[in-house]
Amino acid sequence: MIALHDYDLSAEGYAVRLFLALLGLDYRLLPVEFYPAREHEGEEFRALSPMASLPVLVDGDLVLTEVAGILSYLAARHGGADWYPAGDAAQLGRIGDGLALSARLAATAGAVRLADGMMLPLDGAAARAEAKRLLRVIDERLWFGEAAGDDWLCPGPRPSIADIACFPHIVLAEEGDIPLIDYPAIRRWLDRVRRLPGFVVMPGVFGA
Amino acid sequence: MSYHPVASSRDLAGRHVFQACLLGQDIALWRADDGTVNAWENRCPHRGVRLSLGVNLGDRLMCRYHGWRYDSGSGACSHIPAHPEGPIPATLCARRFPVIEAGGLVFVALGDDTAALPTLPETAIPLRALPVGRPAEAIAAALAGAGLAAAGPLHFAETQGGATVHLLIQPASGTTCVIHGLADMSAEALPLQRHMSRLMESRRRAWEARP
Ligand code: FES
Repeated sequence: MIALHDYDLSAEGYAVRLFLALLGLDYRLLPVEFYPAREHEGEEFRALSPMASLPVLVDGDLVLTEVAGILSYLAARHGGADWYPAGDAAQLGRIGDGLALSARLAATAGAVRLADGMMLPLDGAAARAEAKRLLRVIDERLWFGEAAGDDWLCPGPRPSIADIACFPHIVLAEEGDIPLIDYPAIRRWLDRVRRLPGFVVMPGVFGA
Repeated sequence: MSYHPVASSRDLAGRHVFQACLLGQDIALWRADDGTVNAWENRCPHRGVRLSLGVNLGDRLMCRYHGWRYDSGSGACSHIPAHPEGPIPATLCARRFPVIEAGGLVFVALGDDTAALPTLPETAIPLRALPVGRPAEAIAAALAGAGLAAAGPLHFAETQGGATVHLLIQPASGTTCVIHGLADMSAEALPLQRHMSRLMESRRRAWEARP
């Protein structure tokens, strides 16, 4: 059975829990206390995850420690053509772009939220300014997507793991004092993600 | 208080609650299933939670916090989950603002003494609205300085891609505004919408770069 080492307030962990729920997969949750115990920095956890990052997915011999890798694996292994368009090189490229975008969001909006909540050092003003730049780009992309009849970050009728990876950082952005009022197309997209069958919440996130 | 644009009609998607800010007043804007557009103070009369976090039930808006429900149109509270049988005082009501949908945009006035709407083309197509981190007056001055024709203190026009484009500035807070665009054309709007989005983004970069 898949095991997930995770912390319940982690946005990255939530992306994985959300995707596992959308796929309807069972898994064993192994809580790691990120704050205040900083268990992820202990020797035991580093043996599993040398970067000391959460979440970590273990499936048999396979150990994955980054959200992009975990979501890609789950999509390819369990998602079928809906979540893993194996023959569509362009779409796979776009999904890769979207996953990289989620990493930029993690480093800005995500970092500011953690720094605020857990008193970590960070240049908050710079991170918020960069998050705002990313959100403006995403809002424009989604606005023109809507105009073309597309509901998701990558064109096409179905959401992709790019949506799943970006969603937690954006929906939780206000916890890091990044208001979403200026991104109406993003706010509509958040509603659409919430309405996906199987959607699950985490603390700070509402359902549909 | 006159009417100001706060959203495009398209922004009010089904079962969505849109958040806007006009002259510092936070507003929850939502369209009921029958088409009625509601513009309410973004504050639940119960404990003040933002109504824009709530759920658009189609004919009522449900506050996220304790589930009080407010009717489309009247704003009257019609359901309190903790007191399902109890009488609800008639005064318990979301605070409403006058709202008009015209020419593809949604206009709100903060007072009852509402002046006329700006004169708008009949067949206009809304462009992507652009929030700017500068006050409305500064942007009006910048557009006037760039040679755009003023049709009102916060209303400008220019020709782009062979169409007349109207730019209407929504004073959001004291330091921010939103520019709503309307293109006077009937079909094949996408290329112009893209062109205007690029143009306005580049104008915004210049405006926000200035101290
Ligand atoms: S604050 Fe809205 S129902 Fe209590």
